[in-house]
Amino acid sequence: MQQRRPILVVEDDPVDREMIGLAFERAKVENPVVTVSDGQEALDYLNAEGRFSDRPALDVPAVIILDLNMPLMGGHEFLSLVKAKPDNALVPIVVLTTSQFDQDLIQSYGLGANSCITKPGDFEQLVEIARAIGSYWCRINRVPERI
Amino acid sequence: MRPILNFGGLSVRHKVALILAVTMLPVVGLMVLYLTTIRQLLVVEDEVVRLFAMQMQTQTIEALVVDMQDGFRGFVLARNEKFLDPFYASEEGFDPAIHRLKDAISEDKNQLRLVTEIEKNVRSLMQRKKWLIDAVRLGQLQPVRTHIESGEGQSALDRIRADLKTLEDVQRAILHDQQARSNRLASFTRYGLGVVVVGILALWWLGSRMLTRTITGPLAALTAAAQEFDSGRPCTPIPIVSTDELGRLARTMEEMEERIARHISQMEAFHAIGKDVITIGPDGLEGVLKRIADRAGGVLNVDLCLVLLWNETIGCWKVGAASGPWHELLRQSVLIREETPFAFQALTTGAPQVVEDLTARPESVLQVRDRLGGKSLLAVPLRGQGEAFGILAFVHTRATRAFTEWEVRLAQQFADQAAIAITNVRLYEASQQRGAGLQSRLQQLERYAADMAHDLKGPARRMAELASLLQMDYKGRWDERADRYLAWLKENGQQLMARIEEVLRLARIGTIREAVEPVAPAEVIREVLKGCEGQVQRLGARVRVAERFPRLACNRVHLSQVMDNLVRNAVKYSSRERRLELEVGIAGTASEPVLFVRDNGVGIAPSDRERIFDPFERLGRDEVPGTGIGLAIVKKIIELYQGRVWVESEPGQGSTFFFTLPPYGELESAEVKQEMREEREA
Repeated sequence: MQQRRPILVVEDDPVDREMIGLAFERAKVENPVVTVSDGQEALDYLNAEGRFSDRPALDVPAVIILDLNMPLMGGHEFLSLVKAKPDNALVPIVVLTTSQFDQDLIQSYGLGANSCITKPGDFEQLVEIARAIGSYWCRINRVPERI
Repeated sequence: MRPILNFGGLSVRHKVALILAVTMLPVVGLMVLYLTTIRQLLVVEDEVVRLFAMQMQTQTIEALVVDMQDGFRGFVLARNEKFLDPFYASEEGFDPAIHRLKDAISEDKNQLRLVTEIEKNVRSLMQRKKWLIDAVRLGQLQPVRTHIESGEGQSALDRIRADLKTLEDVQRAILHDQQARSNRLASFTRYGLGVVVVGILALWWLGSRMLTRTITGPLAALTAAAQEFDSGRPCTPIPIVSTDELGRLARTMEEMEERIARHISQMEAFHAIGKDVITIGPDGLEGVLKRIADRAGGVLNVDLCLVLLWNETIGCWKVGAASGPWHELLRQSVLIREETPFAFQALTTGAPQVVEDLTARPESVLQVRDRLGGKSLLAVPLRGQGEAFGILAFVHTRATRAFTEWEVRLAQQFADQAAIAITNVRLYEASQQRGAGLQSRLQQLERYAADMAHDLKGPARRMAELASLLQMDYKGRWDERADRYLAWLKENGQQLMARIEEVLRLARIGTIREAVEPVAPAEVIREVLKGCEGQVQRLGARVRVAERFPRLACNRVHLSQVMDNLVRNAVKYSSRERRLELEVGIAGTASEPVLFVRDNGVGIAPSDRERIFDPFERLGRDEVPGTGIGLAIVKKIIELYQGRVWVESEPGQGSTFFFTLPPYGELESAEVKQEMREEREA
């Protein structure tokens, strides 16, 4: 079942969005990649609201790839809102960010992030990361069926 | 101490005279009495001697009479002239004897009468006997016979004897009397001596006691009081109740002590404002002024103390502060110059102004009098940098009261100190405001730089990622030059990213308060060396680490960053000509341990030794990778702990980087040791 669930990429920068999508493609991750450009859109997707009101009920993401620095709703705010709602809280969130500071890591984990990864600055490495995410979060990791 | 005996307000001189009189006069009296007694005793003794002499003369006369009788009798019976020798001898001795007796008797009429009678009888008897002797010589025995037979001679002799006996009796009685008197006097003298000695001792004791109570005692009390005061204990009443010079001295001393104590407390309060005022609280200038008003009011014990600040622009006074509850009523209120003439006078003349009775002043409006109910006023200028900028006003509202010269002087000194304080606060506040402005602008700039750096990092990363994507997808499809440029593009993007990362790291130091903990440097060094194990092995470096390090009080990550940068630097700048020797050690003292990282690398030229701690300063050797920010990070971290970092180096020989960080636990371990020792002893 999990193979069919989408990977939700929350990223404001179009270059990054494209690269992440491409990286998943190159990594041959079968799950569809859905990209949104800020926290609010991501929430809309999770709650099937706004432009995602007609998304299939079963398309709950297998994993959310989250950037921290975004306009409108930043990564930390999104984390706190998602983890506050029991249904959404079960979706694993991988923070993918430029920041290398402990403080950001501590805050992210504190708000319920399941994993934190630094954006590498090298496409090959990005593909490696995508492959690892696809393999671990989309195949190995288990979440309850009915969310 | 007990109250001292009072002689009804006599002066000390009179008291001394009285004590001397009380002790010395009886002594003199006793001595006189005693001497008189002795003299009398001597007189009596003389009398006794005279009586003895008298008795002896009487007995002599008696013997002469007997001799005369015996001589006569012998001559009559034996008709031998030889027997008449005693007779003539006694006749011859009689006259001097009777004279001596008479001399001895001298004035006793009774005895004189007896002696005269005896003399008469003896002479008459002697005359008769001589006549009879002459008759016998002529051979006429009849008269002698008649004389003997008639018993005439015998009876005359008997009479004489009886008289002598009476005389002796009288003399014996007198002697007896005199002896008794002499004995009485002697025993009186004996006991009298004891009584005199005891009496003198008793009087001396009494005298010394009186002296103690009236003079030496109070003097001791005064001395004790002076010492007590000198030792700084609060003054207590001196236990002298007399009204003489000493009593007056005690009262004066008490007043003096009180005055001194008051002055001391005033001086203490005076100095306390210094402290009070120096501590500028969150209440700023107004708080300082308020404390000055309260303190000054307390020091001079006035009902109201005002700090008036002159506002040159509007030509009015502004109440800076007022003592006690007046403050809320008066703060920031404005007083018109014409209605506060004395304050203005103090301001312009720069000299204290005293108005003892405000109510008696002819001015129609006086703010202090009419609005505040002031009765007496003292205004002293607050002088700062040449001219007065305000005044301190001391006001009695309950009653008119004079200000003493001391109080005026004190008030002025107080004002001078307050003026300095006010000036300081004003300067401080001004500099604070300027400083705060600078600080916030600086912080803003730092934030801005950090934000910008952060914003730059994204594009740099994307550039590098895109370049690497192109490299992957299009390698070999263009020419070799395009491949090389793509590689450079990727490399430069990545360098830019790394450099920005370092800048952010440097900017981050100190913005977040990291936990300070006890850190064992040996562990940190071990981890750091493990981190660059590969490079160290590649260089075949020899690494030496000191066995023991004191624990440091810092953030573990900070020490790790410092060590990491220094060790990596040593590796980076190792000499190509020789094998790297790296030493991490400890020097300095227990209170300031100095850690060092020593290498035998390329070294640093003297001109570069300061520069290397600035960001982005890299020394030559472009092939050495790095951002040039490592030592800047080291410096910033060390300075965070008020430590020092410096380098000693010889170009071509190697460098040693030294740094200090606060030691941990010296004090604590000392305390613990002390506690343990105390426990053991307990």
